[in-house]
Amino acid sequence: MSIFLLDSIVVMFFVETVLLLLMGTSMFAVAKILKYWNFDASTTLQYALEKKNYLVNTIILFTIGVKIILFVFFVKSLDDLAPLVPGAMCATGVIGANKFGNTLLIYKIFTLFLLGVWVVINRLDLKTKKFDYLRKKYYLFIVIFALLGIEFALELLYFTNIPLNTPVFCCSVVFVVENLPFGLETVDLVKIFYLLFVSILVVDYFNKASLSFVLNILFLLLAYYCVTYFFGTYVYEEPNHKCPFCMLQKEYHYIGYLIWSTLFLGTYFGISPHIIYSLIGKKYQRLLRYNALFLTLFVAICSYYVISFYLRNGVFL
Amino acid sequence: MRNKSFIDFSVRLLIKEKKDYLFSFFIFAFIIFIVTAVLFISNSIKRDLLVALANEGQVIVKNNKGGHYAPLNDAYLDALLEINGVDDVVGKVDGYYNFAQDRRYFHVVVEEDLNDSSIYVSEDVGELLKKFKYEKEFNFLVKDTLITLDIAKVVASNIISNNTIFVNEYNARRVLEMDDDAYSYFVLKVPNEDEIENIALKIPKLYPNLVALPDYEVESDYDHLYYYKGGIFMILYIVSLVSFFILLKNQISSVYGSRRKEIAILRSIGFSISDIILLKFIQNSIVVFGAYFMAIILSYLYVFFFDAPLLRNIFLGEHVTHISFTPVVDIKMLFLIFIFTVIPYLASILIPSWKLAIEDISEAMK
Amino acid sequence: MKPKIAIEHLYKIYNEGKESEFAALKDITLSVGADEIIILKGVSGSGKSTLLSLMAAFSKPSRGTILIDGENISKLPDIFASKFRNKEIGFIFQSFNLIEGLSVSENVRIPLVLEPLEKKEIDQKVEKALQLANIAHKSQQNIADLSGGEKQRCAIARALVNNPSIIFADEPTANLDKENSLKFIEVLEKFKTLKKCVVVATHDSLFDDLPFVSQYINITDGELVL
Repeated sequence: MSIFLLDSIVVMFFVETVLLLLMGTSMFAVAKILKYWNFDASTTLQYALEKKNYLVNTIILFTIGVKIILFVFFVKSLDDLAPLVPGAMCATGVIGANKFGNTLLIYKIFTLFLLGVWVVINRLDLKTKKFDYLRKKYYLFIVIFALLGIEFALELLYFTNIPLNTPVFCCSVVFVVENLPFGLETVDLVKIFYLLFVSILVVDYFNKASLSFVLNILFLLLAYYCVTYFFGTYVYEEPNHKCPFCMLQKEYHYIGYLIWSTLFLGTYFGISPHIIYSLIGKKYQRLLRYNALFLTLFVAICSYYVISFYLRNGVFL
Repeated sequence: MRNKSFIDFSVRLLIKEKKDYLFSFFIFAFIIFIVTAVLFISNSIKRDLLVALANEGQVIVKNNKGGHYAPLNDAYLDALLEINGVDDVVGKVDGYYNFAQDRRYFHVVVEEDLNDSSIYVSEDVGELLKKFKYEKEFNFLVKDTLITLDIAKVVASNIISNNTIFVNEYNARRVLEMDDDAYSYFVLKVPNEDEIENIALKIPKLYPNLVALPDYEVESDYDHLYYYKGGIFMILYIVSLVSFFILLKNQISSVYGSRRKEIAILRSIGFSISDIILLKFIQNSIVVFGAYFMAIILSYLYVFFFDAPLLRNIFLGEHVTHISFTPVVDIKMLFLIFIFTVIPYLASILIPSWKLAIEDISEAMK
Repeated sequence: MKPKIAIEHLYKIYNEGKESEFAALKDITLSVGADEIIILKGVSGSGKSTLLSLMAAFSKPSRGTILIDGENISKLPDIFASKFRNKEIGFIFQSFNLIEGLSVSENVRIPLVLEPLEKKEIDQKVEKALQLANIAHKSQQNIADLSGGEKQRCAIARALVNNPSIIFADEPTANLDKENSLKFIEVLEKFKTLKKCVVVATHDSLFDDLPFVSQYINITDGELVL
């Protein structure tokens, strides 16, 4: 029995390979563009390179779209694996089955963030009449391509090392000890969470990209703990059920997908303006609006569970 | 970003050029059809097995004697009831009757609602018995005697009830020649899930000849079996997919070649390279989604209305003649098929579309 | 007054640096005012079509600049060049270059699908262009069922639908009979009243000595003959 015979894993690796091949072919074009690009030249070569630029853009945009779909699929496949891995009831057990799991998950989110940054830079580049950011855009892409290669390797390592005989820990074990950052209590954590949220809204209003960058990173970290240890318990309506993954399941109306995607999208829009500014020196604060929008949505969903529980039962968990 | 009238125009052109896409549409729909049908069948079988399993208890206990399963007796039943955490123990009678005239075995299953003089048979058994002129009643040939029972009903066969004769417990013991205190296996009811594993481990320690199978182990056995089969199939299928995509890329390239002039006209009017790629992407998305939905609907009909002729033999062997698959459609599976087929399809048209888009405008218009 | 189109030292050389090197255009310099009509004369192969296609940003020059409204269109990235073609240029081709299998009005509306317009606005603009080109009565006909003259009127409607400031015509009368050719010359005069900047490449003698034409320019072997 090999885990690579699971049809969702087969399919995932197949599509990942297709994407890597597509990107690999466009790498040749990228190398050529970086080597010979000279906007001022009126040579046939330069014009050919300008045309190639559109191919590479298309391929990368396509890749990003597929990557997002595959990410959802990856998380779903983890749920599928749960019955095969002894002891695992949800994705927690599967992702924690070996040391690569959590790294892979964080790594995947990180590459998606970077790809998102690339999309914005590309958009800005296409709006200029002289391809102002073309070189930087492609240097960034080379970095991303290397990272995606590593991701593929990590994925292979992760799936080959999932034990199918020795039991793994499930969320009831992994998250039972409150492993909160800075030695905080849950109540304090939640207070800081709301405080941070309000300050992000203020910072967004004043268009401060670098401040928003710092605050959003903090918020992302804090939000993870808050959802796992506090809001999650209200989603499950059980004070001891602490798990970031179970909420992705059908029993909870797949609400986890909405919670996590609003959080990730929100922080992405909060973090990227600063990164874009430091990469290409262009201010693109417009994204901060979406930062405020998605984070508000995220906080609203989380708070809704707490409030509705309180209204129905008259107590907090 | 382009607006709705751009999409309308892409669709209008697609309708005009539908012939270009017929080939890829049908081949691709066929490919999706096969993979969907296979997944429908295997999911349906798996579900029936799991449902049957869920109706049983949490631990199944069998008697293993010299590598064979042997009947259990009452003494074990009482002993098993003593184990902490076991709520109830039910003795089950079940076995195979040798129908010598056709050299095959019927599965004999207990159905408590039946009276002492009648039986139910599954559809395939019913058909077979008709050939041997058993229309109203059936004679079980047992050592020294003949047991004649009325065929009260023919029931539809799914994967579990296939090849089966249902009798009540009294008749089952007579047909299978089992004593009154003998049982084929025991089913243990264990209300607390956490204790299932402990109990399953404890039983063989108390009685080394007994085998205790917890329900999750049986379930995971089924899973392994189907994951394994599914995986091998998928890997083989990738080969045919890849060859299809190579075919598609060539076909698309040649079709696009004949559309060079048209694209150049659009470019001269103001379509950018990205617009042309988008136009082709929209058109191909429509084609591929059309093929996807058509294939899924057809394979649903094929598997669940027509009971998958031909393909079912691969799964169940040639003897299985009458079987109906329980319709199971899960979103996850459709999502999987989508990723498996639609995404590579769209990936394979990117480069031909771009090549078409970058043609020199004045050259291509000549 | 600043010229609408200003071409300076324009070269188009194919297979540059190779043995088969061939200069289609050599050192072209000319300018066209915003409401001028210009006729480029020359035998086929003289380079006048190449010049038009460079002016419309269909292809890129090997050297030199083409400024339109002060912008060097030959250095524009494809997205901008396409937008420019869409908004500023109406091109009438010798072989009409209509999309077969679509109706007249469907052909005429194509330039508009790239713009964020409501369907109603598009319909109005199409109707107006069809009226202007005198083809409204055939709007639902398939292109394949039209005569040469009708095809050209359809092409004119398509060129006008976006209300461009510049109109290029490449051998517009080569596929027409005398009667329809004369009609085209009437259309040309109409362009003058619409204050369009028009450049026509032709070798048809019907275009000689037209009173509303501002300049006649001869091209031979890729060079201007003054």
